[in-house]
Amino acid sequence: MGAVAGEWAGRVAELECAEEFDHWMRSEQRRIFNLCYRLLEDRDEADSATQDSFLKAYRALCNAGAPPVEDRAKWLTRIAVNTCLDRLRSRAWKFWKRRPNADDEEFILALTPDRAPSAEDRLFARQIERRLGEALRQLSPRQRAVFLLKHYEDRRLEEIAEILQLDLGTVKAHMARALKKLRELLKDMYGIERTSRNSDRFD
Amino acid sequence: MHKHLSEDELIELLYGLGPEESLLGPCELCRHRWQSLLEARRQFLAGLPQASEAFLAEQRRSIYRKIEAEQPAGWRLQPAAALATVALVVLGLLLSLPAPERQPTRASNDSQFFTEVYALVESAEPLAAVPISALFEEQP
Repeated sequence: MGAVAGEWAGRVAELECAEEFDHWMRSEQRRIFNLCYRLLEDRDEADSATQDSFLKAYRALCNAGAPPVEDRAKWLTRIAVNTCLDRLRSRAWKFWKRRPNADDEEFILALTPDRAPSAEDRLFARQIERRLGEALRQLSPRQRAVFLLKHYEDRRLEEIAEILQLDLGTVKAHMARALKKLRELLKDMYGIERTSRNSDRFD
Repeated sequence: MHKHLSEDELIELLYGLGPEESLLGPCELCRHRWQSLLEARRQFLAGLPQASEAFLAEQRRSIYRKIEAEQPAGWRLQPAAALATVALVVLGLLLSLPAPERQPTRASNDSQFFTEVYALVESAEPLAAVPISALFEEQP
């Protein structure tokens, strides 16, 4: 009887954990999908990587005896980035030859609800996003991860080092190389942007 | 004389490579350019496309399907397992009940039994006819 009661108690704890997990997943899901999409540049792969990341998180959080996680957002980001890096490594040979997937871009754009920014802002962001996406493909997976975590999530380099489990110096080196490459690749955009927008945009 | 930050330096600052914001110092122009840069990024991020709620909901359903598929088989087959367990317990109880004690066979009973059998076999008159015959017997 004790064993059965213990099993039921475990089941109840798991259900409670699942409910909490659901709320948490809803709050993080969009961010994680965006991160995976920008790292992988492929809708289906990003979808799959997002699912894998949450599945891993669920296993870690809702299993009996799972240790508590202090900063869940950072921890989940690490899971997602590692999942994406694994996928990038596994397709490394074709990664460099890959052309941008127009269908993927259109898919995401079609899903975009009207938001506060003006149509001009959205168009501008879309142009930069497209060019940036193309330029990011020229970076190594780690450089890309470092840059994306800073660019889209505005994380401190110390945090990025923690997420990627790298030295701060290594992260800085990746970032410096990424910026150098991106500057070269997006050189033409500096001029276009300044003349067309008359503002000091950075990309 | 104060030297203004170049665009590259501002970008490095934005990406965490330069020294902290304090590098900007009291220069109004550099501060203005820095703020413009931050605003440009804010607008850029706000204008980015986002996945729809429907897409995210479908993604969640897929995640739950995977979680469900990973549940231990014991939980999914629980009703059947519970019934099987109850059946085994009942069977075990039945088997473990003490069997009714058998009466010890006694030699006297055996001999009495065989005596009766021999009496029946040796009797020329069928047992069923005994009561009827008794009616015709003369009383002494």
